[in-house]
Amino acid sequence: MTDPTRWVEARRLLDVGREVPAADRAAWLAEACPDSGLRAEVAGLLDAEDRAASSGFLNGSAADWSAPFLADEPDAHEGRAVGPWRLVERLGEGGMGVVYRAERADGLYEQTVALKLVGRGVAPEALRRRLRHERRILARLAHPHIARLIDGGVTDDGQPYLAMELAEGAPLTQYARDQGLDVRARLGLFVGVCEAVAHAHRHLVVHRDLKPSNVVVVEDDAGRPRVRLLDFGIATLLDGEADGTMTQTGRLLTPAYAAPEQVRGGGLTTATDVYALGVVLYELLADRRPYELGPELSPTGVERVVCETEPPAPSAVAPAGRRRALRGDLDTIVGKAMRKAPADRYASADALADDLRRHLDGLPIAARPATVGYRVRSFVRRHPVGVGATALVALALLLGLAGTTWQARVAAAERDRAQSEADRANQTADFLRGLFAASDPYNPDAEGDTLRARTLLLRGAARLETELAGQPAVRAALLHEIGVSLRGLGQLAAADSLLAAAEALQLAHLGPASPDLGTTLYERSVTLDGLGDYDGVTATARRALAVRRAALAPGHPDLGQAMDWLATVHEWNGEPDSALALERGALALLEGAVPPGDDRLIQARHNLGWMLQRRGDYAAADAALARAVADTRAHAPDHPELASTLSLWGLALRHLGRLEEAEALYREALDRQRARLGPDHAEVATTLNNLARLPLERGDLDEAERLYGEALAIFRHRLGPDAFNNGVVLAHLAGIARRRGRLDDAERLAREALALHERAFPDGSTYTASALVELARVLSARGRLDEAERRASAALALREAQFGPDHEGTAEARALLADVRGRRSRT
Amino acid sequence: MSAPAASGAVTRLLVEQADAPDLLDRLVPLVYDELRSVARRHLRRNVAPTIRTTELVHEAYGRLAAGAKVPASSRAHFFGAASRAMRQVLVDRARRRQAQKRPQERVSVDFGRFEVADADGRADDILAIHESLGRLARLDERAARVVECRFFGGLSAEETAEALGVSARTVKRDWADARAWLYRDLRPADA
Repeated sequence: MTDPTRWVEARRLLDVGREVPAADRAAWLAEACPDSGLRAEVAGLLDAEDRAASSGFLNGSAADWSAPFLADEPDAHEGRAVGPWRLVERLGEGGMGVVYRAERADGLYEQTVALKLVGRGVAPEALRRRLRHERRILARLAHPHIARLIDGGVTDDGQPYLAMELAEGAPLTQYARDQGLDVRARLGLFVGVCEAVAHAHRHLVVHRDLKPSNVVVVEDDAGRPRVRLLDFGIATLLDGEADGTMTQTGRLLTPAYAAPEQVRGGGLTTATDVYALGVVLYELLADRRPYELGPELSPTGVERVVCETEPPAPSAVAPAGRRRALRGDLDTIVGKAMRKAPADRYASADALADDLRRHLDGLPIAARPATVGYRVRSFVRRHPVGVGATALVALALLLGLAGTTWQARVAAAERDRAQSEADRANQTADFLRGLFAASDPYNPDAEGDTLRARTLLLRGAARLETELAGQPAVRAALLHEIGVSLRGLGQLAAADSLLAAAEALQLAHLGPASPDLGTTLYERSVTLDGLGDYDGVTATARRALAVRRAALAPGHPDLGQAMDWLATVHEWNGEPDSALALERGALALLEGAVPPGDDRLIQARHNLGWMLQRRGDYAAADAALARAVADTRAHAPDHPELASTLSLWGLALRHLGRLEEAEALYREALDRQRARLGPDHAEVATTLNNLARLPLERGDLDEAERLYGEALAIFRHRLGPDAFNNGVVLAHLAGIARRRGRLDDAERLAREALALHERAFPDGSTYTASALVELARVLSARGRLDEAERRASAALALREAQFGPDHEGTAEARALLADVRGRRSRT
Repeated sequence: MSAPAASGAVTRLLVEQADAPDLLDRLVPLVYDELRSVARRHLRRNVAPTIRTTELVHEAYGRLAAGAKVPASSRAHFFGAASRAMRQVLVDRARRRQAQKRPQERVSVDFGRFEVADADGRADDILAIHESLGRLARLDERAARVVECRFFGGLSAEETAEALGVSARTVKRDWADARAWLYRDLRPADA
């Protein structure tokens, strides 16, 4: 209809017609409208009116209805150049800005990235500064499960941007739902997430905004699902926590995944990520989140829910078919990751992953369900300022946070004084253990940047000189932990001075019989051993045992540890009988006190084997070491000490003539040590030294000399020119030179070896004896029989004293002396 | 937040030239930008994209008239203009959306099932309604404006009556007839 006059007519008829029942309309219309054309129009309009009403045509408003296409309006930025990038397509919008697929615009090479135009409240200058600091660290986070930061900067018109590796996939939780994955498959993917987070933590990068949309699943070429973590370190870049410019209002967080300390505005640590991992795991297993945090909740409301309520166990809310699988272990694991107090959570993402693996393997998990005690503590903690104030102090200290934050946290710690010092020291130590585990190369998980960790530790130690004067127990605990960590990094002198300071503080403030003092003395003794201060070692080892005897119950495993250590000290000091007796005592105590895989027990078995071996009782040593290796393989296959036990066992087997077995053990030990400690670690050199003996006995002098040479270079580099270890290798090299007829070299090497041992062991040692034996042989070969006889008889005296008259070493020295004397009598 | 730049101009028009014959044409461009930005903010604020057109138009008015003492009749004029501006905003955005879309057969969408309509389909429908409304305006301008105010501007029957200077009863009749006409135009019975 296009004729206005006819339309007016039609409207008049419509007005009446819409009141006529549908069944009667045709009759009514035939009568009311003689014009058949108009009649058809009106009939059509009446029909349209009914159809319009029943389909809701034009109900609601146009804008409301258009929202879907308004919301994802094609973006004005597409096609725009940003730094070296060109925006291709808008991928989505997040809390921090809009994300685009972008390509390299400068044509230098082909690369597609996810480029984030940062929208909200980030000052371009601050971002630029942080990028300068952080970009290198973030770019180094090379891990198959982490999408890397590739570039970042500020556009010409002042808008900050970040370019990340592009990972297109579904969020982990959605992927699991869509694919209908079972619990095992979900856990398998999640363990990969933990590994990636742990890797980043080792590089001292905290994510701070872990949530399913930042954990995507991408299928690889073979169609296998692979997890990828997005936005690592980005929250810190945008938020400025790292340089102390963070403000409460500028804080980026996703309430549903934020830890209590995060919603409260407290210090953010690796523990914050562990919490978020717990929430993601909860959601992954239960298909719903632990807390209902609707958009209507105020920030205070969110804080109340997150900090003060315990969510239901995942098994209580999961789909019915999955509940049984979650009950028990998985409920416990999620609960431990999501503890309110950071110190109560898993110490690291690795520890969380380990427990999940143990669960998958059907082994008992490490986490325990929350006890009444835990609930009480978490209640006490969440009310006053007390939440791990010391932990925050420690973190601030380590990261060298800017003045204001630091002072504020010290103040919080002061208010926390009511808590007993010892309790607090334990908290601090636990916290630091988690934080530091990664910087100790003896930690099985460590692979991090030791240089950076060392810098942090030394900086932390320097701060302790001036800070925390009023809290000696906390200070001592921090000194202790930093000292032990530094020792792990090879900083022995620094470690010892921190431990000595800790010892003095503990003695003054905790008294002469505290377990803490016992532990500090023990660690100090171990450290002094590395430094070669053997008098100090003996004195501290005796004191450690005495203090622990006074402070601990008679069957306490730490007592066994102190006995074990003092036994080895006795052995070094040439008191093999008391050493062996004490070691057997330590072993008996530990066997009754700890499970078979315990470190201290493994260590004691190893040491017993070592002592037996040194006595020449190779069969008994073989038995002890075989047991030590079997236990370690069964309970702690990645134990860092396994390599040296293998090496020692190899030595025993060599003496028993089982050469091929011996060489296999040495090679395994060497591989393990190189992988764990790096190619030039002292332990590697020790094994090289032992291994070299086998080609030597086969007559392969070249191979033996090569291995000894490598060992010597490492020892000299790592332990310095005066280490007795150099002497051990030098004596072997002297023997090779002698057998090759290079007698000048041989004599020089043997004398150097002897000098080192005489300096290290003024009262003589088995090593001194070995050097004497070698020197006597060289001198004898050169025909200098007077001195040869003198050296050989000194060797025999030492070996008799060390090993008794029947030891094969003693027999060797006796035979040598007889030979020299025989030659003398012939000349 | 400071008042938008268009604010002064809008107030002046509403207070001083409320009777100007071209008031509508002069107001619309001033309101257009404001509506766009208010709409954008509304969309951004919500997780699920929703817009309450009524709130949006009132918010735009609040910002543009910014506390000026405006006679009730001028305020009604403003809402009329805002409805036209809103129509333009939506049509422009729908056109852009179509331009970005892969060329394909236009999909016929059932207007009633809003919840299943996809973004492309909705953009197509907005344009179809806009064009059909243009045809209606040639036949019956007032009825077309009633649809503009109520559907595009989200105004109530009473507000529409005020904006157009007619009775509420007229608005209701116009609305019913226009809706039937538009539906028949867009969906002939045997199509």
